[in-house]
Amino acid sequence: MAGIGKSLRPDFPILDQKIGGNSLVYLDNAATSQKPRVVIESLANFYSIANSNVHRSVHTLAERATDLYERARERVADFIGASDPSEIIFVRNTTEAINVVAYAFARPRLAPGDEIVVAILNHHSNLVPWQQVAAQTGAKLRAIPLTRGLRLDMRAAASIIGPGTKIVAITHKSNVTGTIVDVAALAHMARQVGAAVVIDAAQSVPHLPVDVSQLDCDFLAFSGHKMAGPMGIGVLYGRRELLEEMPPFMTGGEMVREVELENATWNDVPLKFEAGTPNVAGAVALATAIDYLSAIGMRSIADHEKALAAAAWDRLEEIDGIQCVKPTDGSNGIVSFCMTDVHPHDVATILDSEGVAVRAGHHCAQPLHKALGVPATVRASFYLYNDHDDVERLASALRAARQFFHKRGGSSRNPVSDSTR
Amino acid sequence: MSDRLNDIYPETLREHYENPRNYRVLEGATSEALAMNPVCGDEVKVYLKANKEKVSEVTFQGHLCAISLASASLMSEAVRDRTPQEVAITSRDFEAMMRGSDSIALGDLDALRSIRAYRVRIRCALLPWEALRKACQVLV
Repeated sequence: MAGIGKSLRPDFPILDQKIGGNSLVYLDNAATSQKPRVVIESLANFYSIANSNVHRSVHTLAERATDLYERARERVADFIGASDPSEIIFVRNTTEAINVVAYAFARPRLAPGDEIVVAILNHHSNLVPWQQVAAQTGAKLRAIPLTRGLRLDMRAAASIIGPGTKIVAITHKSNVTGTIVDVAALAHMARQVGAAVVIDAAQSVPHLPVDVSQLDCDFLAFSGHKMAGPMGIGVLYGRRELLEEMPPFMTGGEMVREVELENATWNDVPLKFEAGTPNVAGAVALATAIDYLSAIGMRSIADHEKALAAAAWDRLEEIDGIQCVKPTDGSNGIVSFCMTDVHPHDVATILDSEGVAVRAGHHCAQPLHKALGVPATVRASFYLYNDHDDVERLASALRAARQFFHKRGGSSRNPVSDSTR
Repeated sequence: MSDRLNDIYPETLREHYENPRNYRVLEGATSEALAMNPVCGDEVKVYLKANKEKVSEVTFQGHLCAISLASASLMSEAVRDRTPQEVAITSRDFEAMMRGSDSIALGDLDALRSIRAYRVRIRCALLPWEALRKACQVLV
């Protein structure tokens, strides 16, 4: 196994800088990860030696670009356990991938009275497209709640998923609580009623081993930029037979077989879903990112992040006035919390002044925050290049935040718990 | 304490955050309006006692960060006992200042000038003013 943690920092050029005089501690990995030099060079290399359009021209560069692009597809398929590379569709990001399913799979199939099952912990990207499908088709949206321990309530799921269910659209790993959902168990429930399973894996594929054949899902979406790859490239995995039945999402060049003035026939999957010139360099660099992560090992990455999160929870519990948003069965590298009397955005600003980058807000999960009873949280999220030193820097920056707003003995008024609702 | 922190949270701002003026629901308000920041879910409700001649009282309440809260507190003092036209001018000048103008001096409100260096947080400073503008709409 290659090293992990601090020994990987030199691979990531962006980490070698100071923010406000302090070395950068990057703990906003759930928003986007940093990129190793090999990935940055992979992008530059593509444009330096292979740039050409794919699946069109027959010259040498076009062959080279097409070969790299299709090999990237094979690499992605292999990485997530898809048996057939044509089940991998390159898109921009997770949101686009879910929209492909919502528009091209769900809309033509659903009818009034059908049910789409989502979860309270879903990111907006796996909620809003389904609201739109429901509005267009007359289908009904139902949501699986969380348990008090911040896990998906599987008992409620068993009663919600029923004969009316046509789609089960769930997040694999929460971007706020780090909760991991038992997708295989949900898929089993969905199979019994003939519903399709759509998984938002934006937070799982970058951080833990994911195998679509074990999850038994029909669709799975993730983004390259959260897994050491570039922005603007993402993946939709879909079962081949479903992809073949589906109409295209977008139409235009590349996705057609034959075009007459008044009609056209569609190309085979996956090209049917890749209208226009794709992000070839992005796909190639994503494959490089997958090679980089695989050399370290997804199991090692998951264990490393878990250990860092556990250490962070221990540190946070020592600090006065921190309320932890911590699932009972572990938070898998994500640490979300509130600080009494200090707004999450102010915490994040103070942390930034200490060189510690975190996210604050509702993290595109407003229904989840409503269920948690807080408008916003601060989130520290770990990745393979983080280390225990970063945990200590987080803790000391939080103590600084505590001190900053309590310098004069503090105020008794709590803007977070006051409500106008 | 880092200089950077004192830049973003200068003394006046912190003082208003810790001891906000007029932070309450206003009994007998003649108008009220809500503004929300979609980025963070923050929200503020501004209450007015006003007629076409004078805005005699301004209060507010909400979920707010230090910057929004200080901005609301400073606002509630800056626009009290002014005509609706004067309130509209101050509101416009404040927004122009937050968006980069240096041509107008705004007294205590100038404490928020430092926030301009933090693009994402300019919205925090403007949030209560959005509610104020909505609450004033019935006056003009």
